[in-house]
Amino acid sequence: MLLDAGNSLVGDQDPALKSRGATSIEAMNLLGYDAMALGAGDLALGLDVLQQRRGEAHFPFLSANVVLSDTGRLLATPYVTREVGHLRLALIGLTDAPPNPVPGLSVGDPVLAAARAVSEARAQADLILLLSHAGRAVDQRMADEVPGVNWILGGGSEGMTTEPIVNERTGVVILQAGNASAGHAGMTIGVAHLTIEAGGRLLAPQWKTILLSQGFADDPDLANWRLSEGSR
Amino acid sequence: MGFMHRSTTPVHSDEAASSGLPASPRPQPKARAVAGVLGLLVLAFSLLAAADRDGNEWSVRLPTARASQIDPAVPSGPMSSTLTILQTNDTWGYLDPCG
Repeated sequence: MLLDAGNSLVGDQDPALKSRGATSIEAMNLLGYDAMALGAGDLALGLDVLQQRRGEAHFPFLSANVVLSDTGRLLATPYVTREVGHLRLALIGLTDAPPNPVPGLSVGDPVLAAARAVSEARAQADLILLLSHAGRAVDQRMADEVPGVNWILGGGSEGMTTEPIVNERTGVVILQAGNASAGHAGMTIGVAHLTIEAGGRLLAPQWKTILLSQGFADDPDLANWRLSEGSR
Repeated sequence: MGFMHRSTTPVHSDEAASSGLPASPRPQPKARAVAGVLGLLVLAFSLLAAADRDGNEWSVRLPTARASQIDPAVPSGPMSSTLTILQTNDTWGYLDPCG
C-alpha cells in the first residue's frame, strides 16, 4: 500500500502552489496512492478547492475530525477498510488544526475522533492503522489512550526524528517518514513491513526510511509527466 | 473488545531473514494501467534489496511480558500475511525533493 499522512498537496513552490494542489493529485494518481490523510496545510486550500481536488483523486481523502461548519458533517471519509491476506485493515485519517481558521471547516479533537472511529471500525476490521497528521505529541496520546489501535503512521512533526516510537504500555508503534520542515519536504519515504501471523499475532514491524537522494534514478513515466508539466 | 496477541520477541531483520518468514506478497495489481506506479514500487523494492545507503533502518522492539490474548474473532489462516506500506508525509506537493 502507498499512503500519505498529510500536507502533501501544496506548500510554497510551484507547480503545486500555482495549480492549487492539482499537480500533486496528478502525481499521486500516477503513483497509485491508496489513501491520504488531510493535513492542516491541505485544508488551507479552502473548502471549494479541496472538494475539487478530492473529486480528481483516484484515492480517498481521510479525516475523522474535520467537519463542515454549517452541517457538522464530516468533510471526508473517516476511514476505509482493506483486505490484508485473510485479515481486514482499517485506515483512519486524523488532521491537525490550521493556524488560521478555514471558512466553512471546523477541526475537532483528533483523540476523541480517533476513539469514535476506532470504536466504529473495529466491527469491520481486525487491524487498525491511524494515518495521522495530528503531530507526534497527539500521536503519542492516541497510542496511550485510544484502545484498539495497532499502528500509527504520522506526519506533521517538525524537526522530529523519524525513528519509530513504541508505547511501552500498549505496544502501539508510531512511524513517521518525513521531517515536516522547510528544506526537508519530499526527501524521504518510509517503508514498513507489518507481519501478521496466522491467528492474528502481530510481529514487531520492520521500518526503514529512504532518502531520495540524487543517486536514485527518476521513474521514466513520472519524469516525462514532469517535463510536460513544466511546459504548461 | 478484542485483543491482538502481540509478539514478545522482537524480530530483527537478520532473524527475519533466517527464520523463514514468508516474503512480502506482491502488491495487489491495480486496474489502472500506470507504468509509473509499478516503476515506483519496483524502485522501492529494489531499494530494499540494496545496501542501506542514504537511509535509516530499524527493527522495532515491542514491549515484552505484556498480557495479551488471541482474538477469537480473528480467523486462523494457513500462513502469515505481510503488509508492505510505503509512507510519505509533508511533501508539500514537491515534485523534486527539496534540498
